[in-house]
Amino acid sequence: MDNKILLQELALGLSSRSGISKKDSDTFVRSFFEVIEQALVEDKIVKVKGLGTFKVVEVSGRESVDVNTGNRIHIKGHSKITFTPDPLIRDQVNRPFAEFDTVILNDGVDIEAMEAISNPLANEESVADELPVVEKVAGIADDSSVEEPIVEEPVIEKSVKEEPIVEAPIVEEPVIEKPDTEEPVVEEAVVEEPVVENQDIEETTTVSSAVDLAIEEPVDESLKTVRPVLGERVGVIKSTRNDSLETEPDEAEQDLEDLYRTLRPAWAVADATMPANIESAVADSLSNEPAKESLEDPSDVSDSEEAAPVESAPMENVPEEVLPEESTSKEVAPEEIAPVEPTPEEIKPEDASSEQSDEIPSKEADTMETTLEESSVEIVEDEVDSAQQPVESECVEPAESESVDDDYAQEDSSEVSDPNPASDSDPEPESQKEDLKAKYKRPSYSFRGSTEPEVSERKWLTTLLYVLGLIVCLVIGYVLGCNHVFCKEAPVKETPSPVVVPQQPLIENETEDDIVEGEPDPDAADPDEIVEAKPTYPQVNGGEYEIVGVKTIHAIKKGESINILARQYFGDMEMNVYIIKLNNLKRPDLVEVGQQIKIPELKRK
Amino acid sequence: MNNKEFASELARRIGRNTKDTGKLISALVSEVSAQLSDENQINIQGFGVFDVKKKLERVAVHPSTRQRMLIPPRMEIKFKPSQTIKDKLK
Repeated sequence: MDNKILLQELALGLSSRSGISKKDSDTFVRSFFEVIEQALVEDKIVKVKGLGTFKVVEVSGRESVDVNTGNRIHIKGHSKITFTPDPLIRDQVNRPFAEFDTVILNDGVDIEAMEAISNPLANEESVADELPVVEKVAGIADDSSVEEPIVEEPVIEKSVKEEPIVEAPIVEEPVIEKPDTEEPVVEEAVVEEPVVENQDIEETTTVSSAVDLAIEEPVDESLKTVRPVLGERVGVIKSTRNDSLETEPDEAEQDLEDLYRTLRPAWAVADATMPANIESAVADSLSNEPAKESLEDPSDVSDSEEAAPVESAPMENVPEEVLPEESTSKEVAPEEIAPVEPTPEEIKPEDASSEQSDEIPSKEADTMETTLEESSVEIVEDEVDSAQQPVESECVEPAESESVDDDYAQEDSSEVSDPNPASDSDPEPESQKEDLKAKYKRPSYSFRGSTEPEVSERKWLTTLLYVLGLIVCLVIGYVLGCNHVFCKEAPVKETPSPVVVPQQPLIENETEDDIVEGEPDPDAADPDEIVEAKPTYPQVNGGEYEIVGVKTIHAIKKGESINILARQYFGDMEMNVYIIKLNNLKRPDLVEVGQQIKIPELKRK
Repeated sequence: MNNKEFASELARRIGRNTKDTGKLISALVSEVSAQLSDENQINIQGFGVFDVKKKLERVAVHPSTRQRMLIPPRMEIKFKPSQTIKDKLK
């Protein structure tokens, strides 16, 4: 790197490659270049396959200035040798930048920033230089036709020393991983794994440290170091993914517990005939976890249909008074499941903690599965995070609907045993249910436009706004259109207007006779006419003059400007505002040669 | 002089057959290419210097469409002939 290789070294390399002796290869290399030289002299052009083309170009004499003395000098014609590399060798040398491609810039890109940075580097052209840092992404990134690595690379190039900067955004993350221009491979790998956000920070440090090593190494070796790093990165990703999956089943049961408890109070609608077990269980759970309720109003939960049919069949055994009291049978299922729990456990007030987790037999887990579907629905409403995991555990433990019947049968027997506690706890659950209902109405995932009156009101408001906006747009359009060039015809040049104008009185007379008895109104706009009878000109606010017409149309000549025209026609450059206004010039300083500029007719106000 | 002529002339000079010379030429070219890829400068006395220079990225404007394009940075091979050979041409 950055070494000067002499002919002898080249010969050495050649001998090792081809197997000929060092002496022979030395002779060969010398002859090689001598032949080129000779051929250049004779033929003026030499082409060597794989290397390139040497050409002799004749440069004609020219007049110039001696740099030292400043005197005028004639540089004689001479010949110079040009070398055009072959595509093979050119690409080989350009390998560090091989992935780059030209990118179409959008207008928002700031060029000055780039040039300011690149200028100090312009003097040194050796490879080890830092690449210019182009920080603006927005404009360039819009080009969807360009591949992601290519877009990012020219745009966001950090110098080699800036690698350790770890930044969360995905856009810059692949760049960080490839801070060195010598590692095009990294770009591709990074593109393939764009979504690994969580592991990014850990990995970038790993990669950047690897890259640090890579910087000092030549290109090939740096690539080698990159690959194992990438492998490591991939490995990291995989391992974390596996971990996340594996942890779920372990926690699932515990979460099922939590869920279970949340489910229980749902069917707190007390019924005298309802088995006491259920109600006591309800009472217990309600007293413990009034805040956990998401089961509240089944009518609000839209996704319960899955659970409902499952439950509906075995529901027959359940006291039917329960059903009419609740809008869907969905709630009954959790209710039924609840009594299962008390049976193995003591019916006592329980803490919200997970002491029950140890005691849940496997059958409860089965019943839990069936309720998972409803529970998943409720979880959506519930703000308790732990409740979310049971949803995932659904994947791990597929619901076994066959066990449902058995469970319900068991529940029936248990329900009968304790009718007494039920009556006491009825009012409590009721009121608490009301609270819960209220809470449920403030869902985190509520259906948009949750209540009927709100929906219609909002819709009405939005439509009203839309209509208003539309009207405003139309009005603006009309106003602007009135002032548009097409509406205002210059009396000087337009051929149609002389044609139209003489017709006007004719037409008007006819129509007047028919319609209006009074005198024809010359100011009235005639719909047949393209041009308004009295065109209005844009006026300069606060100006002393009023633009009443177009005096003439001036074609810009070379070297002329609006200011010059103003001075020419009005004697003062300050009057350019009227010219600008009349012509509606966005960039008055950028008029082109030959551009037609209307010179206004001004009248003092 | 195209490639074939060059190879045959070179073969004549060194006293080998064209086929072998062709192989040697390829080997030499690979060697040169490898050295240049390592960003080394090759200096052949009496002939010239092969150098690798980095060109910074630049903004170019497409003349007809007036579209601004960003041309990425590149590494280019430059050849600077030595004075000896320049004099030979004159």
